[in-house]
Amino acid sequence: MSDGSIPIGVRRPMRPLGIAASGLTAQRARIDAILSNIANAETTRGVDGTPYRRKSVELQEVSFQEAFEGATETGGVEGFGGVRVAGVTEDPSDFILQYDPKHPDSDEDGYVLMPNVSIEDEMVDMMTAKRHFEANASVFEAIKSMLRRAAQL
Amino acid sequence: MLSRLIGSDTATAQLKEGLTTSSRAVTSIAHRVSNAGTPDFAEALDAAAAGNEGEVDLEREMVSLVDEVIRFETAASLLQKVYQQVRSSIRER
Repeated sequence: MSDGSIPIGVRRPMRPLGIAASGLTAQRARIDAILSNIANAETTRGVDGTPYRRKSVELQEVSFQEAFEGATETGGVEGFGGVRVAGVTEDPSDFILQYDPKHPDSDEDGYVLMPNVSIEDEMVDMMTAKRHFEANASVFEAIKSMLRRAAQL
Repeated sequence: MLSRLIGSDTATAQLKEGLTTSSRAVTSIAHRVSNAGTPDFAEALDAAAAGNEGEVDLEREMVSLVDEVIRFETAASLLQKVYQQVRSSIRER
């Protein structure tokens, strides 16, 4: 269950918590991709020998239609709402050409192909992901307090 | 006798309805917030069609969240009082 969607068998009253948790997982996956991009911002030799390509996580909405009605008590994953990680995509944009004749991977003219990662963009993305993560954490806390309150009745 | 306290035409029933409404509202908020970073998120696209920016407004969602939690807490407290009344009326004569 690494895609972050609500696992099969989450009991009905706990499903709102599952929705918030799916948001936390999705944002953490986004942050993982950003960390990888920053760590490899100067990697000129990736796994296939070419410079590292910027990775991004693709998020997908999980249908919310049956969150209240329809879905059976331990129904499928679909229909509970929330978000899931659909996959990791690579940014197809061009590598950055940089003049650095001393670099071991430079061509005969002294140019090196650098990864298509912009540290500034990554930092901005990181802030957004962090803010979304915190929002999901707040929702999680709120739902938890409501469930606890309901149990005290 | 009890139906006057917790029957379907009493304030108790409305309080129970309130709890359900709040928890459903919070579930919707959870769904929107969890999809705040999702491109092509249907509800955000609807908002874009209605003239708002096509993005989940996190601040507004947080305000509605607090609103719903407080409503829930209030309804739960009032409901608890009713159940206490019922309990003590059963125990004492």
